[in-house]
Amino acid sequence: MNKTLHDSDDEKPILQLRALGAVKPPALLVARVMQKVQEPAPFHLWNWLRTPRKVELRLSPLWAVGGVAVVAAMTLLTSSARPLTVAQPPAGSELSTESQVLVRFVIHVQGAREVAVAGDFNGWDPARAPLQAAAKPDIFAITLPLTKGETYTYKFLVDGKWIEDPTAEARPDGFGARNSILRL
Amino acid sequence: MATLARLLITQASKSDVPEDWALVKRCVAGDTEAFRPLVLKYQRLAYSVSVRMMRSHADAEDVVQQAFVSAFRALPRFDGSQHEGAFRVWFLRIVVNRAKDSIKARHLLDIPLEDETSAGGAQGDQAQNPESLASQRSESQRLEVGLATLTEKYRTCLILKDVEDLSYEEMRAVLHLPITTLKIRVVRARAMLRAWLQQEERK
Repeated sequence: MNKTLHDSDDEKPILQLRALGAVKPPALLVARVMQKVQEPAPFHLWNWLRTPRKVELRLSPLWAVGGVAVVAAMTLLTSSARPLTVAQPPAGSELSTESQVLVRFVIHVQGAREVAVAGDFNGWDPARAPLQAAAKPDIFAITLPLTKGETYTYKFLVDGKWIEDPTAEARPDGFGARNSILRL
Repeated sequence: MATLARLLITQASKSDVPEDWALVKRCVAGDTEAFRPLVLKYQRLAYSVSVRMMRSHADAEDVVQQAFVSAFRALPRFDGSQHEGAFRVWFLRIVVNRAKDSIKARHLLDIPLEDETSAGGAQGDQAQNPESLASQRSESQRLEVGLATLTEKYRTCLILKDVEDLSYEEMRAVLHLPITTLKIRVVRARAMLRAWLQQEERK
């Protein structure tokens, strides 16, 4: 028995195993395998789905030009059907989403301390929409998410006094005063 | 027909055998005969690994046959363009997986390797005591029996590493196990086999 077999270092290979060599396969193995592979393969949906296939598309230049023209026409039609502008609220800028727009209410009031906005959108509760002092003096602003397509009436509350938005249209409130109008 | 087969065998043994990947591409394109050189080239490797895993010539033949057929059917999904040895490792993985599945399905856990010299007459899976067999055999036969005493996971690692001389990278591709795990298994398998051989020698 070779010394290697008794080597305590098991990280070394057992050299005699390498010398065992190949076991001779049965003589008819190749023929049997080739016979099997020449038989039609049983259909397996999963294998069929996993197997990549080459797809060849043969297109005459005439069809290609026609296709490009159709795509171009469709693009033009869909773009012309889209509105080019969205009505902007008079008092601020907006960031729009599909159903909502963000409306920024901005007002310039000299010497004001507390400014809020109240209207249809917050149940006329000024506590729910206090304006923050902007970086510039006497400018107050707040951004609110409102629904696209709606028309709102609103007013600013400046140090306890209700005032109209000086930059927006207004209509009578039925009590002798006027409310500002915001159409989205 | 015999002449053709002999010609193909001769071609397969020469160094001008078309590269595996070129043969695979021909098979995928519908040339079934292009698979024959691949079978000729890898049948010994596949059968050697399989018979030592299965410890039965009859089961090993089934495994190898099924592995070749599975490989042929899966060729459209095989990408061997990276390096020439890719097919060998990929096919070996199929063989090993087939053998493992077969062992699990048939619960072939403790059946020793048959004596190849008497395999022609005794293809059955009759379990024989490895200890009694070992006393009658040469060193290589004793090694085969010793190998057969290991459990499947250690036996497979030792077959691939020490018998077939695969690198750990190749073993990782075949067994899909981390290299650290493979190294541990190989070291343990060697220790177990050495211990078994020492025990046999003392008898």
